Amino acid sequence: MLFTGIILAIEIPLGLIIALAMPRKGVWVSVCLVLMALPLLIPWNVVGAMWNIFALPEIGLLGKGLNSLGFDYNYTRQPLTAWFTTVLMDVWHWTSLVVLLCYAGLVSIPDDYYRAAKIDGASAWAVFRFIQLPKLKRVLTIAILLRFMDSFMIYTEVKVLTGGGPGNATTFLSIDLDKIALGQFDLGPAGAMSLIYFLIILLFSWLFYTLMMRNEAQ
Amino acid sequence: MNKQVNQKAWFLVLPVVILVAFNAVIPLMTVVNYSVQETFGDNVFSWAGVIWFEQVLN
Repeated sequence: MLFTGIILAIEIPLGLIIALAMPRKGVWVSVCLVLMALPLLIPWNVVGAMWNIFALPEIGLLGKGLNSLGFDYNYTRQPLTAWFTTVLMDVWHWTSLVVLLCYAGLVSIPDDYYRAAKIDGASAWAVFRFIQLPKLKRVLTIAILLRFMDSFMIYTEVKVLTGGGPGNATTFLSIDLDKIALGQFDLGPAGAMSLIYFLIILLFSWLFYTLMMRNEAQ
Repeated sequence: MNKQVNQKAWFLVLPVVILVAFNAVIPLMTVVNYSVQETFGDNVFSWAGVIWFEQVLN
């Protein structure tokens, strides 16, 4: 839950900001969209392997760079840096999805709204607050829901990056489940845990969606 | 022109229903089955009730 909270708190605002900063016309639109789509095209295990090497303290660009700047960074030994690396990797991998969803929502807003705002002399903040944000509400709901479910079920990237360590620092529910089911072959507890896990995700997603839709109806 | 109304179109949905059952419902039910049973290998299962749920929640 903590990981999901952190991920949502970073990815949703960041994705929205990047989507707002992206061009709406011209050749740069395609360039930006391709660049944004790139992380999403990489298989999850490859993302984990990439970040594993990238963050290695001795040879990785990130790890060695941070250490040379004076930070004590070693994600294979320190729980906090392992968490930091996991969050950074997820943000790198999945913010693009939020950006693409928000961008699709932004370009679908008719120009008439902007023209009316311009005539009224609305500031950029007012345009965002009273035109763009309300129009993006449904898109943001989907983005938050998708990211909530995905981050709650995170497995492959973390498995490759840290293997759940150091110790049990990054052992998320899915990795714990994997250990019980495939490591110990305890099928009974693994089955029970899977169902509880499934129900938690289902319940939170339903609650979240219902609340968002109720707010919209009001 | 009078159109003849029937419900035969539902047969078009049948492949999807079978596919969803195969991909989602059957694995889910397998997990439900495992979660209430104890196994000692050799595909031998015995009823365990909610003991695994209690263990996981504790």
